[in-house]
This record gives sequence, structure tokens and C-alpha cells, in this order.
Amino acid sequence: MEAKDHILARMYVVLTLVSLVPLLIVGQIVRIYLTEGTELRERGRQQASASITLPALRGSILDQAGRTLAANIARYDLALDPTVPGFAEQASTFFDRLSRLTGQSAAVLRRRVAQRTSRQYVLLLRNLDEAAREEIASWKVPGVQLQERFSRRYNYGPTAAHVLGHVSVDGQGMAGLELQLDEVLKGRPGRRAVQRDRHGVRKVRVDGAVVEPEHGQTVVLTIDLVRQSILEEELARGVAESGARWGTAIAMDPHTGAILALANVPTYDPNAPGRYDDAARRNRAITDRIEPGSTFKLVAAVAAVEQGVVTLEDSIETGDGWAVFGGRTVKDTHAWGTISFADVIALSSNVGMAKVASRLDPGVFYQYARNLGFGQPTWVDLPGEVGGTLKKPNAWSGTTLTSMSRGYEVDATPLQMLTAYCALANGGLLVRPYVVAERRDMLGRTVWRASRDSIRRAFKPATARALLPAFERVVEEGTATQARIEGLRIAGKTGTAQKAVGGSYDRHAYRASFVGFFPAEAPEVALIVVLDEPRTSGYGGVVAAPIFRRVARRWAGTLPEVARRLAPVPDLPEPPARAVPDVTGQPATVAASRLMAAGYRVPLPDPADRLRPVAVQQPAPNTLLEPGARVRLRAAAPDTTAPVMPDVTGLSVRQAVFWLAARGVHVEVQGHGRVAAQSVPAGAALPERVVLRCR
Amino acid sequence: MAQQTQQTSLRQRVAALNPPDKFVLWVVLGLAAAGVVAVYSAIAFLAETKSAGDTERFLLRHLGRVALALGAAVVFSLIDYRRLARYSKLALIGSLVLLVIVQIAGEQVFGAQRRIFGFQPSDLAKVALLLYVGVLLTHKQAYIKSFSRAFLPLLVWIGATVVLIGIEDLSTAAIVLTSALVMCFVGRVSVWHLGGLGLVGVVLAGLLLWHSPGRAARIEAHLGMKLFPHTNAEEVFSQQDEGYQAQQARIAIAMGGLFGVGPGKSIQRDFLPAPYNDFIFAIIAEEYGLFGALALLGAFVGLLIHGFLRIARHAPDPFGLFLAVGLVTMLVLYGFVHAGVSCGLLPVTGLPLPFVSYGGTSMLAAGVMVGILLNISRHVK
Repeated sequence: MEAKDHILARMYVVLTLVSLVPLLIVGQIVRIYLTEGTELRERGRQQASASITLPALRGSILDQAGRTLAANIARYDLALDPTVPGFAEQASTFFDRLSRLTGQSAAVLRRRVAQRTSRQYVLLLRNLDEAAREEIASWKVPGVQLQERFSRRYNYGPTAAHVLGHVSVDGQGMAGLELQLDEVLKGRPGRRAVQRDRHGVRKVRVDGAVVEPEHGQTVVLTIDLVRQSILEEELARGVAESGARWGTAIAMDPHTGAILALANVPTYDPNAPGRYDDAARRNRAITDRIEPGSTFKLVAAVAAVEQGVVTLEDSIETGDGWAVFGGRTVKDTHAWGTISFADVIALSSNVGMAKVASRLDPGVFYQYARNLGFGQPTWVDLPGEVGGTLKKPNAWSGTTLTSMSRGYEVDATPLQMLTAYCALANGGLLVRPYVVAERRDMLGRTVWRASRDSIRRAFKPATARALLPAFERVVEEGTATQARIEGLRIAGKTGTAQKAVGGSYDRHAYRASFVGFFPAEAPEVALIVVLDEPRTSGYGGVVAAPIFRRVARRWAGTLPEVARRLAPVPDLPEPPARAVPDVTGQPATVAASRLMAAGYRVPLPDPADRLRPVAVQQPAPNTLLEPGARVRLRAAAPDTTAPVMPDVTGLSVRQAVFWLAARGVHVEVQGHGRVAAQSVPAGAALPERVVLRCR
Repeated sequence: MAQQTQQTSLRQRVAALNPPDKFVLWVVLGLAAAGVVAVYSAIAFLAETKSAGDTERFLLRHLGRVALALGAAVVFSLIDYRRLARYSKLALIGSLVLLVIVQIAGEQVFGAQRRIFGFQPSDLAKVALLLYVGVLLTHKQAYIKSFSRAFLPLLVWIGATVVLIGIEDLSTAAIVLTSALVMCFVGRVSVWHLGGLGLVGVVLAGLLLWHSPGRAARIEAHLGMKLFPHTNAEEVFSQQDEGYQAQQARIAIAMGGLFGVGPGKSIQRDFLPAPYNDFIFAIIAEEYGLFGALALLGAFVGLLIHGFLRIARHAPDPFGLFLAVGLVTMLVLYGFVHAGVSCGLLPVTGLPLPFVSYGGTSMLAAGVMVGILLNISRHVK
């Protein structure tokens, strides 16, 4: 048995040695735990975890009344993997059908596939709607993927386009509020932790952490859709009628600074911003610096009255309508003679205003301009605002003060000008304009609300009270009678600025504007209208003021206080029928004003015909007609009738002078107010010179 | 008539035998049960990619293979191992011929895994070799210390088999070689001869590595040492992605900790290649922690001790002893090498864990080996 023992002994040796192996293995496992366990576990968790993005919904933009102006809709992108088996056989029918469905040519689609940069992926079409998606999905073509994403939809197309702005195809804010509030609107996307394997395939993990997306906030505007539409319509109409290159109009609550409407012409459709050029996308209300012209006279008026260098009743010698300041001649449209400072404003006398302004210290004038917000942005909550230019007194030349007093050598955005007039309307406070009234979270809870933000007191309430009558007079009988509305007190100022073209002023290119507010005694709305290069007339009172009037009339429906003033007194007896005055031979505008004053409704004459005499009026003159009935005017063909002196009695000085001056008649005015007598009788041949006596 | 007497005598003979070793039976059943559970979890990924998540189909296939292996174990436990010895030379020669045919005919005929009727010739060869080495050792006990009469014939047979297996599968060849040499050692072959063989082996291995920079680099990458001047370990390392596999396995073990992440909750099964086969130990260590790994290792250690001390030591004849030692050593080495690879102790190779891993042919071979072992246990004194 020696051999057997030997064998067993060797067996025990083997047993012992082999038994050591598992000890090594256990040792190794323990070593892994102890030395690199933490690191390995971290690595394992990292490689196994991935996250998918849960997109956040972009917030909507609502108008003041809660109407949705900008919303999200589901849109689909069509992507294709042309290498998927089975696609090639269906390719030609697929492209044909797709071409028929979308109108995109099949050849273009094929080229897109042929020129794809990635072998297995090509984005064929974007922004397909739900119907197209269903149709394409029903074809069941292999390799076709329809990827859902949210797209922006502007429900009212171009309405308020410049306020809303637009987004890029990726949903990034590009302009307007979409850009300004991009962070707030887009929210924060969430994440869901998923499990990943070595092929990158993701599995949803039940216990995976989920970070809910933070949806974008809803933004509520101060703008009202109805008012905005009216403003846009009337501005577009005014721009079309006057043949202006562009126009901009802003309406604001003068007490709070809330922008009630903001319109630009030309405008664009934010649903397809790419189809419009930069000029159409430009929000000129805040991005265009323009020399304001006479509307800027507010600054000199405020400074002069508050500093006590003049009162409204003081007589100012405007002489023959021209004067020389610092070697430069300042001209008026007419020789007004000696008129009150109130009339200097009402009639927009450059000479008078320059004379008053030259009584002021340049530093004082500068300070008032500065306090009224010129030379600095208004800090409106819209992107791209420019600050305007206001030269410091040490950079002034000898003529700067007088130039500036009538709105030259200074530039400002329309919004700045409006904000300055808001100060006049609200008693001297410069308010910060804003368009965002409120922000709400996804559940409709208000998270932020705008409050009135007055930047500073620009002048004393007493100054505003003192100046108000003068600015009312501008509308009543001054340069802006076309802004007049019966029953509604309106204060405002026209601006007619020659455009500086290449360093010198162009005598034929004007920027016409009107800025005002109503009701003058308790202002609710301040509105500015600016037209660039109107062709029918350069005067703000002729082209911009009517826009103001139409907007104010139509807005009355949304402003109860204003509507009350305009509403006819119900218990008045039926207006008696009267003989319609004969206005044939009179300039169309003059005729229309007369008939309107008599209580008839007159469709406005075509802009081109306004200065032409009336050839036919319907119904015929002297027909008995109740006030409120419609009278149509037809202007004579150009130059077919010999010019005759019209009957201008009863018209405002401004209107009479306007027409006569346009005909080359030199007008001499005695007194002010309405024309009481004319030196040349109506119907006589048009004289060279006429004297109007006014009361 | 003659057949009936034959059958009767067989039944009588079976009845006359001792019952098979219960411990080995339970260990095998336990391993198979653990394997079913672990494979069910680990196969999920393969099932998802291959048959749209139909994990049950793979589970049923695995259960079928387990049943086949256990059936083979039962069948072989009924066949007298001494009867098998008579056919061992024939079986070995046959399997070597098959290996050669497969090698010459190559992939075109037998596929990448070189199977014949779903069976790899190497699986047959390794069992046949153990049997035949047992036979040779038993016959040569009288002159066992002789170089030419004992050592050389053994060396020829072992060498031929190992080389033929090793062409395709170096790690299996290493286990077969180790098992056969352990048998030789226990069978009283001269320590000098074995030692000399070992020396020659080291020199040959060195030469082999010298001429195969890829293999050399794998060794270097594993050891983290620069042994050969002509290799480019870093390059090969990343190409073969072994660093990745080894690290994923280590991550699995680290994730497991003491108690594991829980049944079916393995994450690393998605990152490890063939987690249901080559890295099933890592998956078990991840899902059941250190305790799971210890239980698994314990089963193999139990098999080792019980196989050596209960079966081999009490075998009725030297042949039974040598064979039991060889079989137990081979089974246990498979387990230990698999575990060693999974925990980064050994370079990455694709070895299955007997009775646990998903895979048919190795499972069947293991069943046959356990069957033979059980049959020996029926004859213990």
C-alpha cells in the first residue's frame, strides 16, 4: 500500500493547491470593494444613466382682455433614412405623393435626399401640420420619421407684429417681446433619467428621477386687440392716402405709461417673418431717431412758462413771418403779425417760439429737454430701443437753441416724444412706457405685475395746467383742426419737419406728425402719429391729425368716459331738415369741413382731390336734408375751372390760410379765431392778396 | 432471450450498486437552479435584440439544455466507468480525428464554432482524454517512473489533444492540460519529468508569445507590465476591448457590494458582452453580492473537497481514483477560471461556468463528467 499512500499524499497536495484558488478569487473581490469600489460604482452609474429632455412649453402672449395673440401648436418635421430596407422600392411614389401634398417639387425633394450630409438622416420638410402628418403616416413608408415639435402661431397674423416679434424655426425669440422675454417665455426643459446600455439604447427606468419641465410663463400685454386693430387700420389708411413711405403710431395711457397700441406701416406677418424685408420688421416707434420738428416746441414752451419768461397771454412779435437768429433765417408759414404766446403754439410759429426760447439760458433749456426724457431711452420693455440725441450745451452753436426750440438739431424716437406729451397730460411726470402688464405661470397664477413707474417729475403740475389751453387750441383752431372731434377736448401739437438728406434739409421731403391726448381735461389716451415723406401734404395737421381723429373716434367704443362725451344727447328733438349749403367751387377740404360743421356726414375726398374745387355735390345745394344725412362731393378735374375766391368766413384762420396759401394767395390776418370777413368776396377771381378779419 | 438476461443483469447490477453521491447531486442541482435564475436576468438584453424581448423563449431553451445535461448525468451514472475505459482509446482517437477534420475543413463546413451535430469535438476530446490518461496511468503503475515507457506515451496523447484543442481555444486547452497533468501527478509520474515539462512549457510559452505580439500584449495588458520589447500593449489593449470587458466586470462586482442589487436588477448585463455566458459570475456577484459569489465558489469548493476526499479517495480501484481526480479538477478549474476572469484575476477568455452559463455543448459535457463521477461514487468502498 505504499503506492496508494503516495497517490493519496499527492492528491492532498493537489487538493490544497487547488483550494487556494478560490481564496485568491475572494481576495480579489474584496480588493475591488476596498480599493476601487467607489470609483467603479460611480463609473457604472454614469455610464448607465442618460437623460432625455422633456420639452417646456413656450408661454403664450395674451392681450389685455386675455385673447391669445401668440400660442403654440404642434408641428411636424419629416425626416428620412433612405437606407432603410424597403424605402427604395417606394421612393418614387413617395416623392410624388409628398410633392402633391405639400406643393414642394419632387425634384427638389430628391435633390435634398441625394445631397444629404448624413448617410442615414435627412430632414426633408419642416412645419407640417397635423393633417399632413396623418396623411404621410398613412402611407406607411419605411424610413420615414415624423418628429413632433412645438411651433409658434400668431393668431392674428400681422396684428401687433412689432410688439410680439417672432421666433426662429427652433423656437428661439428673434424680435419684439419674443426676444425680450425669451428666458421667461421658453421656460426650462425637464429631464427624465433613463437607463442606457452600451449601444446607447435607452430604457425608461421606473425609478428614474424626473425633473418636471418648467413651462414658460404667459405674458399679458397692456395692448388691446380691438384698439390695436383700429390703430393699424387707420394708420395703414392714412399712410396709403398720404402716400407716405412709412408710418408709425403709438398710444399710451399717460398716467401709467401702459402702451395701449403700437402700430407700424409697413408691417409683417410674424408667422412668416422671412418673407418680409428688414424695413417691414422694423419697429420704428422705438428704433428710428428722427428730428421731431414742431412737436418738440413743447420743451421750449414748458421751460419758458415754468421759468416765467413768458405767459400764454404775452404778445410775441412774429412780424412778417421771418427773423434772423445767429445768422440763420427762421421762417413761418405765414406772417402772423403780433400774436399771443398761446397762438405761437397754436399756429406753430417758428419765429415766435425761437424768440421766446432765446430768452432762456441754454443750460436751463437743456435741463428741461433732459428731464422730459430726450437724449436717453424710455426704458420701454421692448428690445432695440435707441436713446435719441440731445447735444449738451457746451457743444451748441449760436443757432442751436433756436433750432432746437422748434425741433431741429435734436432727434428722438416717436415713443420718446409721446412720453414727453404724456407728462403734459398727467401733470408733469415722466413715466416709463411698458407693454407687459402681467406674467402668469402655467396654472394662471400671477407671478409678476407691472406697476406705474414714473421716472421723474419733469415740470410742475401748474405748468401743465397753464399750458394745456394752448395745446387744446392747436386742435380747436390751430394747425390741427383736422383732429377735432365734436364734444371731445383734445390737446396736441403738429409737427412738420423737413428731412435732413445728406447733410442739408430737403424742401420736398417732410416728416409729418401729430401728437396729442384726450380728453384734455382728464386724459385717458395719448397718441402719436408719424408719417415719413407723405406726398399729398407735408403738414402734420393735414396728414397725421386725421389719423388721430379717426382713431380717437373709433376708440371711443372702448373708452366709456370718451364715449359718454361723444354720445348724442338722447332727448334732443329730431334735428330739423335744413337746406344744404352750396359748396360748389370751394376746395374739397374746405367744403367737407363746412358740411360736417353743419352736421352732415361727408365721405372724405380723395387725397389727390382735396385742394381742388368741388364740381358737383349730391344731393344738390339747397335740398332740404336732415343733419346726419350723407352728402357726396365730387371734385373738379384738375385745372378745368378758373380759380375763384372761396367763401372762407366761419372757417378757422388756419384752414383759410392753408387753402389760400396753397393757391399762392398772400394772406394778411387781422385778429385771431375764426374768419369774420374777407376783403375779396366769394366767387371773385382769385386775388393776389387778401385780408381776413377774424374774431 | 439473451437481451432479456442482459437487461436483467443490468438492472440487478444497478440495484446492487451504492446510491450515487447525494452531495455532488445537490451541488449540481443547486448550480443549475442558480444558473436558471441568473441566465433569465442576464439574457434580457440578448432577448431584446434577437427576439423582441421574448426572454421566455431563451429561458425555455436553457431549461431544456439543463434537463439534457442532467439526463446525460443520470445516464452516465448508470454506465460502469470501467466499461467506459474500454472505449476510451477509441473515443480519444476518434475525437482527435474529428478535431483534425474540423480544423482542415474549417468554417465553411462546420460554422464558426466548428460543431458536429451541435457538439464540439473538443468537448468529446477532453472527456476521452481524462478517461484514457486514467487508463494509461493505471496500466503503467509498475513502471510509472520510467520516462520512455510511462511519461512519453502520456505526454504524446496529452500533447496531441491539447495542441489540437489549443489551436482554437487556448484557455480550454490550458484547463485540459492542467487537469491531465494533475492526474499524472497524482498517478505518481516522476516529479522531475513533470518539472522538466513545466520548464520546457515556460520556454515554449515564451517563444510562442515572442512570435505572437498580440497574445503577448494581452498578457502585458492584463499584468500591467512590460515584458516584451516588441509589443504594443496599448494599441492591442484598446483594439481587443479587453480593458473594457474587464472593467465592466469589475464594475459589476463593485456594484454588487455585500448583498447585491437584487435579483433581476443587474445593470451591467447591458454593458458586459455575453453576460449570460462568459460573465455570468459577474452578474451573480452584482445581483447577489459577495454572499452570492461566496455561495457559488463554495459549491465548487464543496465539489472539490467532496470529489477528492469522498469519491477519489474511496474509489474501488486506482483507475477510479485517477479519473475522479481528473474529472473533479477539470470541473472545478472551469468554475475557478471563470470566476477569476470575471473578477479580473485572469485575462479575459470565454469560459463557461459549468451548469450555470447559458450554452449547450459545454453544459452537456459537464453533465457527462458529473455522470461518470457519480458512477464512481456508486462503487466507493
